Amino acid sequence: MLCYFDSDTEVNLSHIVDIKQVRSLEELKKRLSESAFEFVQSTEYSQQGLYVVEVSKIPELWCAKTFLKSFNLLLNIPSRVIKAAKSKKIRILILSIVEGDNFTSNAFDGFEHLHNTIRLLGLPKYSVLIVSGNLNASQQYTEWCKQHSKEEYIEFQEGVEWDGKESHPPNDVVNLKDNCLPFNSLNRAHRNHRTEHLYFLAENKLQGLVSGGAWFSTHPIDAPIYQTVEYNHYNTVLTANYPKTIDVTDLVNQVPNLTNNLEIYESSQLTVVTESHFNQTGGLFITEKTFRPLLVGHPFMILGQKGTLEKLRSWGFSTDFDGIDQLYDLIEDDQERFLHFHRSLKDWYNVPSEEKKLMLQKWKSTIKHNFDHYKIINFKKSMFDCAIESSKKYFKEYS
Amino acid sequence: MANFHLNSQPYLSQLSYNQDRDIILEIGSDQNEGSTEFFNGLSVNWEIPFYTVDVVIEPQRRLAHLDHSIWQVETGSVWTKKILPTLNKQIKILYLDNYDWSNPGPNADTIKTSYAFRNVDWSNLGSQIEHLHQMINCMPYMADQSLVICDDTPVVEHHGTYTGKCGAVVPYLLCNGYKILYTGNNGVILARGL
Repeated sequence: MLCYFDSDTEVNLSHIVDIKQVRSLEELKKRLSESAFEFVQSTEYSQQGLYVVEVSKIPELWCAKTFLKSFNLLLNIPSRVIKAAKSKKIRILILSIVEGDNFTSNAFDGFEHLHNTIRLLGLPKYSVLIVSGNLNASQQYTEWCKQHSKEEYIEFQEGVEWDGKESHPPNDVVNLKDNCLPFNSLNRAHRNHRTEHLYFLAENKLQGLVSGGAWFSTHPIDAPIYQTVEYNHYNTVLTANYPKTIDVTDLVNQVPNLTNNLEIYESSQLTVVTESHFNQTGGLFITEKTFRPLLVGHPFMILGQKGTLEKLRSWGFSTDFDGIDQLYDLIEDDQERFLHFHRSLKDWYNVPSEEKKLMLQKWKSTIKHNFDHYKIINFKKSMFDCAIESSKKYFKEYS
Repeated sequence: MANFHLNSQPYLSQLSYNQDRDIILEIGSDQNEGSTEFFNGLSVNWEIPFYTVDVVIEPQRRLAHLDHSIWQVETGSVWTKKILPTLNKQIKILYLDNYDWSNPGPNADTIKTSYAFRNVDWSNLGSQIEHLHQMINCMPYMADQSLVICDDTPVVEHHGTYTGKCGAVVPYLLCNGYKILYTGNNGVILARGL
């Protein structure tokens, strides 16, 4: 599949700083080159191909020009590309996987802006393919079109940016030490659900390898929304127990998302992942935080958006650790999911230690399966292969 | 941030465009609200020329990548008087959003100072006069079926009249066969032949 670039040195739409800064043309080509792309620098489109643009911002910042720092990506595409797309020579591929937020919120409707812009430009159906870090974007767009009685004009595919592949995963499953703590929970960046999680651990005296609360010095502690607790007590418990740091202490020289601190996994029996997104209803953004226990070979629970475990299963991973209640994953209501998750964690914590060891023995084959499966999966290549396949179909069907 | 132009979208697809005769005209180029790229996109789709007129060159420099825009640095009333008649075109879509309008206060003081640099004694009445001049100059060149989008032109509900930049333009358009299609979000959209 041909991949058109306007320049030999710059990515497409490099006049937009937020696009230019995502990565260099060389780096983008390196990523794309794992799949069957051929690169062409041309402003004439004699053969069918893709015009690739990558954004790293949330949809609100690139789907429409609605405030000073936002931009409408599609309206910035050169007119020759739009004309070529209208004549089915070009398909516009927007890579938007660095962030995985919903396209719609109470204050913003990215689907509507995209839809209207495509109609304004007169682009044909499915001439725009958006690979989104929000793994549910396709389903959400279909629902949005139904709700608004609109025909679907955009194809959405899922894409994973933060797959942990660049973190140098170990060659073998980690070996647990004899005197492990029941869990680890590493919380580096500020998120309210992480703060509530830290409160739960402290209030219930669940002792594990825990990092968190470093953000208390820069972010105010918001009132809890998932747990019924008096704010002063909440604040007191949090500030008395945190911050704690057991993993990355040097945030300048160590890149947290590239660091697999194996000793933590060797010294704990279960990984508690607190994903970046928890309460963006309907969306699904999965990051290296989720992949880390898979790539080091560790059992896990995930405090994330609804369906995170279900998505992992769809990719071939196993999320069933006999004895751990993972049913929280399918609970839509954020509060209920949060509470169910923590009940399940507490149940695990209270399992007698000899019984825990037996359970860990039983989980070994699952852990090994996930560890091996992770090594096989190439998320980036799959993503681009899908874009190529879909585009071949587009050019065949719609030309 | 005002992006009133977006309210015109439902009507744009109802217009029938003539590639030989029609133009899109914006008087008052983009001030970071996205209007110029919006009309640039529309002109790409319908392959009709898009003129964007402003007294300052800053928008042209900032939006140089918009390769379907014909940039004109001139006062709106002067350009519509001197240049527009020479084009031998008719205006399909007119977007009026230039000479500032402001409530009294610090913002008005800032505007007054910046206009003084161009030797213009700024006032709200001056804004209405300039917009009306532009509309009077454009009227002979408006297509039979055409759309006029007036930003910063709120309705005074209890009077049933309009104020703001195009407070004088609205009745003038109504006298010339235009009908109001949309009022709200601090602006008004009118059309005839639709």
